[in-house]
Amino acid sequence: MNDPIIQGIKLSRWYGVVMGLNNIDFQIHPGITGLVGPNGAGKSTLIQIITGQLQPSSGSLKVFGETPWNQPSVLRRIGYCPERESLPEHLKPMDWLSGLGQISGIPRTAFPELGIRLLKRVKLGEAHWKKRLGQYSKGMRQRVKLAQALMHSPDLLILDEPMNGLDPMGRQDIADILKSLAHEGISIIISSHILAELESLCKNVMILNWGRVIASGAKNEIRSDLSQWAEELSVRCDDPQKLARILFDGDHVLGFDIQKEEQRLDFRIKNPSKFYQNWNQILQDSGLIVFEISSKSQSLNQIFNKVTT
Amino acid sequence: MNHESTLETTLDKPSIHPNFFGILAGIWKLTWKSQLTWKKVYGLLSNVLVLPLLSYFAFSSSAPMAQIGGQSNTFYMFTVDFYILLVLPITCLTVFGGMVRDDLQEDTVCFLLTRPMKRWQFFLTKYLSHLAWTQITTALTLLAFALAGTLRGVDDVPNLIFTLLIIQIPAVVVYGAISSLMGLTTKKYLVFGIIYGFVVEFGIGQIPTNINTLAMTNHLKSLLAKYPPLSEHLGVEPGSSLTAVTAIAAVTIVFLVISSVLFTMREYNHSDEMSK
Repeated sequence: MNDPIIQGIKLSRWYGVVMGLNNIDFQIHPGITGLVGPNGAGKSTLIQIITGQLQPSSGSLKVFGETPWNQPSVLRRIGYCPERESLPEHLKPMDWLSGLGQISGIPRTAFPELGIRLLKRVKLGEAHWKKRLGQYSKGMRQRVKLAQALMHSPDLLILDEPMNGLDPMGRQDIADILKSLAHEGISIIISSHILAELESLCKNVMILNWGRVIASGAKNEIRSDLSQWAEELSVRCDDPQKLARILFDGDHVLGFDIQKEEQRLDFRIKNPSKFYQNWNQILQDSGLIVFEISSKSQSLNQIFNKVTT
Repeated sequence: MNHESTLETTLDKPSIHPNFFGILAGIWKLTWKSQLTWKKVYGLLSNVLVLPLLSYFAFSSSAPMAQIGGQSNTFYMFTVDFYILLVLPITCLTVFGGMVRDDLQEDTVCFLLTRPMKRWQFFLTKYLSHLAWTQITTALTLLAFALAGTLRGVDDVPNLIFTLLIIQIPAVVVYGAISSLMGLTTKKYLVFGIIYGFVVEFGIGQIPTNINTLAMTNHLKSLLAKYPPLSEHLGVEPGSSLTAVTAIAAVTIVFLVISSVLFTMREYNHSDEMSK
């Protein structure tokens, strides 16, 4: 695997007595990474530290090997699209982009061509270019925010909840843009509180809850890591009725369904942590011949919902 | 979306060389563009015109004021005592005190602070952009005063206004630097700025020892006194220009350095600002 582009070591961030991030260790590698967690999980705090807007309370965070706070060499390589919808209401998109571009070190002469290409790339209709940003809809705001993040050709693009408020077509547009950017070799971190939004887009996922990293890595690794949390199992064995009786007597199940023809027992677990401690022993003691065990919670989203609620 | 059309607009890497003057140009553009909305232009016009209009009407309607020392003295009271020495510092307090906080309240500061620049560069270019804008609006106000004075037949208006146009430069520079530190230090910068004005400019500035050099108003008065009618009007002897300018420059630099260090160390975020 490539070297990490972001590395957090024992990273914590407090807001007074409220903990935003709690002593987390993680690495983010090149590619598209989904940052997922419910509201208040610490996603925006982490993103603000990565983009140099906040400092860690303790621990360290390195982006491209450097601390991002007050570090132009790191910020030069980052494009940031915040969650907030606020834009300078009185400015037109071209003025805003050229102002921000000049701040980023892009020569004035690069505009308006660069602005036009950016707005075309994010699919903002030409009819809206003369309007002030205050007149923009949510979807148009997301597009122009993305344009400003792409302006200085960053190596790492960070998008905080970019799908918020978008209609399905807008979501598809943004997803397509992100895929084409990834195709060009730009690393992307995209946060969302809805995992399903990211599942088709991201190679890697980091799940946060209550300021801690619950799981991190490639999607399938996470799925197998978290499959221990599955609450519904399906077991094919030589005597599914006997297995059902054992589980029922041991007070392990909430309900079950026997498929005689397939020699299969589907059951819902009552207390997963207690059940999985005893599961191997139960099978050994039963003397059953087991052909297959599978989790019914195959969707990453289902697992995410379980571990974050 | 058509994937091909996306690739058609794929961006070549622009040549990027972040530098102080580029940052200044960008911040300046965003600053003046943001001032030119109809709502703000109306506000600006009223700010620029209201005092000159009052001074114009004061001559015909305010006989007691005119009796103080004739028309010229009444005009000096408007332009110097009231505008340069009172309204201008308060204007600086609102403009420079709010220069970062306005972006925080608008919740757009994240677009600026994530650009490739040092935080002190952001602060300093913000200061310089607001400095340029305030100099322009102050000059427009003084030109409106010039028109009012000329129409009312005040003596030697061109020389008076020329003096004031020169003095407004150090006045805005130093009051702006002081105000920007107030703005970074506290959300209640207007209250603290007014307290500072009473204590330092009106209080310490009146003490007849060297400590009164801490009051920038005294240095500005000594520069204003270079124009003899104002020396008489203010009751101040013209002092050394070098001393006055050095003191103003030193205070400006000290306040800007403190502000830059503070801005580099502190986090400023929208939620804190909106919790006031």
